[in-house]
Amino acid sequence: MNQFNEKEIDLLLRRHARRGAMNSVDATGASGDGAAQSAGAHLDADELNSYAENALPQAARARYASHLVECDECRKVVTELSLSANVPLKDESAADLKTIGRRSWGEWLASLFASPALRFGTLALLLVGIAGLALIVMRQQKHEESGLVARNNGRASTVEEQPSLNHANSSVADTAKTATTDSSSANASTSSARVVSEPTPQNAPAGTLDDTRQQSSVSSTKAQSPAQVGGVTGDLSQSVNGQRGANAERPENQPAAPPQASAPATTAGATAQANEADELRARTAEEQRRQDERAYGRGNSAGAAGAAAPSSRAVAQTEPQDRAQSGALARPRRRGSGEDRESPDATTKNNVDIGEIRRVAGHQFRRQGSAWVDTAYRSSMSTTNVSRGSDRYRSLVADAPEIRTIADQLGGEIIIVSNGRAYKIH
Amino acid sequence: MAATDRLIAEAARRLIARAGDARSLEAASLEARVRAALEKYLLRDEPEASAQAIDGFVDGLHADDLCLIVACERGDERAWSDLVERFGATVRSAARSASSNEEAAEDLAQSIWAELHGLRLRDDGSPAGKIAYYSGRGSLGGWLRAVVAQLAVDYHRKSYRFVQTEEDADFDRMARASHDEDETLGTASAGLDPERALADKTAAQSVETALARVVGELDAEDRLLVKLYYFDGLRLREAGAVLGVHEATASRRLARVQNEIRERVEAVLMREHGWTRDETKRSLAETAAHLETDLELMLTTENAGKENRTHGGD
Repeated sequence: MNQFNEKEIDLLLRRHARRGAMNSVDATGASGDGAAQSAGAHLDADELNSYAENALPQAARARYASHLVECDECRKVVTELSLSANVPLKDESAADLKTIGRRSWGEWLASLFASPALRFGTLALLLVGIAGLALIVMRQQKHEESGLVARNNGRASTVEEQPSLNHANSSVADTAKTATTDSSSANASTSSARVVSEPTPQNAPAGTLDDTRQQSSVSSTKAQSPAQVGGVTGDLSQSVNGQRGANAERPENQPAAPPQASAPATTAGATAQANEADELRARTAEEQRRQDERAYGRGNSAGAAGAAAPSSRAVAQTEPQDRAQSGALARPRRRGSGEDRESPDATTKNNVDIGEIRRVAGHQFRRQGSAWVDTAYRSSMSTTNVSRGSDRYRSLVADAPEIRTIADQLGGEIIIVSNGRAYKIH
Repeated sequence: MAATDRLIAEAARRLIARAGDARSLEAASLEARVRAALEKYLLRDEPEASAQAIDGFVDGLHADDLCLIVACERGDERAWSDLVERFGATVRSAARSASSNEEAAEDLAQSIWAELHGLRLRDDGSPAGKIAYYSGRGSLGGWLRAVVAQLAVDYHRKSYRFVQTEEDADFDRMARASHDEDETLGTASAGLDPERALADKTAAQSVETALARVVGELDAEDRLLVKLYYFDGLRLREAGAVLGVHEATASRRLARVQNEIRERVEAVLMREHGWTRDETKRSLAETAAHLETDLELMLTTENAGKENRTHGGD
């Protein structure tokens, strides 16, 4: 289009020049004397030469250029002088190129930001960048807050458990640590598990889980009373288990409500095992209660008291192995210990009896209430009841002689796991 | 004024010191020339020119050439001999370029020296020769060429009333033929569609008027370029040489001038004739198309005329 426009203007200028030349000829012919056209108006030789040699100041040059436009004679002389002068020409090409380069750079920048599409694109890119940066910062802040909450929970748990640790005797602490170590939840934090399993003094403030746990222990101790047997223990177990389950469902990194603040984060499997263990403990307690009633009826109360001493010794002997046991079974043990029944008001002694474990004939037994339960026993196993002296007992000991040894050494009700099956010996 | 005088005196001393052969001239003998050159080329346009501008201007003068001319003006025979010896060939060459034959060239070259010295006397008794007008701003050789060219023009002007050269006659015929063809084309167009032809002619006249006005309003250097390129038919290299610029610079300058002319013509037509931009562009395009047709027709007519003359001669 520009070339077409230039061609149009070029044609028009050529026509204009042709008409101008014709008019000049007409004027010359009319006057009949070319000298009249430029009389007294021509440039002198010095002016012509100075112009041709480009030796004039700019203002004088412009002034003479105006004359040269109008005066054909002077222009002709200047043209001849210029072509023969061989004067170095003013090279504006380099300067023009530099100017063009600067303009190009400037125009390029201008077009970069002047183009509507690119301008909006640049703005959008900038906004996206800012949004991405803000998102990264927010995520980092969120992680930092989560870390702070986790650390604060850890500190809070530690602070809460410090009085308990300070006031508990060493044996109780060791037992609690054993229970903590035996926790079936691999993801449970050590501090939380310790808070749950560690006993607290009786003068601990009410409303805490430790207090609830203490009440549970006391209630379990009071389960010797016929009026409180069974339902109370079961309810408490369910309460504890329910609380544990709620604690298990709560994410570890979220702040806990005050009652659950120090609760352990256990898995659902561990909770189920604990429930089954509680059921077993409840049944065992019921049976033990009946045996105790019979024993009380026979006036044989001293036998049970004498069994407490060996049990305490057994705790010291078997403590290393007990650290490797499951906490789900450790908790019912302490609540259903024989010492609890014999001296309901001796809380410390109860805690000691909770961890009574014996090893006989390659089997490890944990005392739960009045029964000895094989640590290999799982609630999912089907249990076969076998009475001592019965034909079935004789055939069983014939196949598994260690059962006789166990039954003879432990006495009372025993749950033994042999060849993948559970036998309740009573 | 005193400051300018002091500057001129100092500049004259610098000129003498700078000259390779000062011809035993004193600085004072150059002050008049220096002052005349300053007033002619600098102070006329810049009366309050700075001392730096004045010094720069004077330092641009040709010291040796100026001393030679001043010495000649003062009647220094050795200086005259040196002038004829050094620039005789230049004068003869310029005379041959400006003359149609060798004899005329020789006559012209011989008359130059008399013109330089001056056959008449001024009021103060000094010869009124052209040598008094050399400023030293340009080279002495170029100035001598200019003197020869002007003298040749004067000779030509005196002989023009008696003899019209064949070249001028050809140009005159071409111009008149073109004019007649324009009229013929207009008549032919009118025969085809009188209303349309009249409208086209009116539009073409409007364009022509606007174009002439716009060209007249251009900057002096731009107007000179248009004149040299379109009217005088010079090539861009030659037009650039007159303007003192490179051919490429002249080309870019011409493109810029064309664009500027188009914009101004469109503005004039829209402002004074109430045309829309589309109408203006269409009128320019149609006028240019007619001109293109005119040129082709003119060339065809010229060729036919030449053939007729050739056949007639046979």
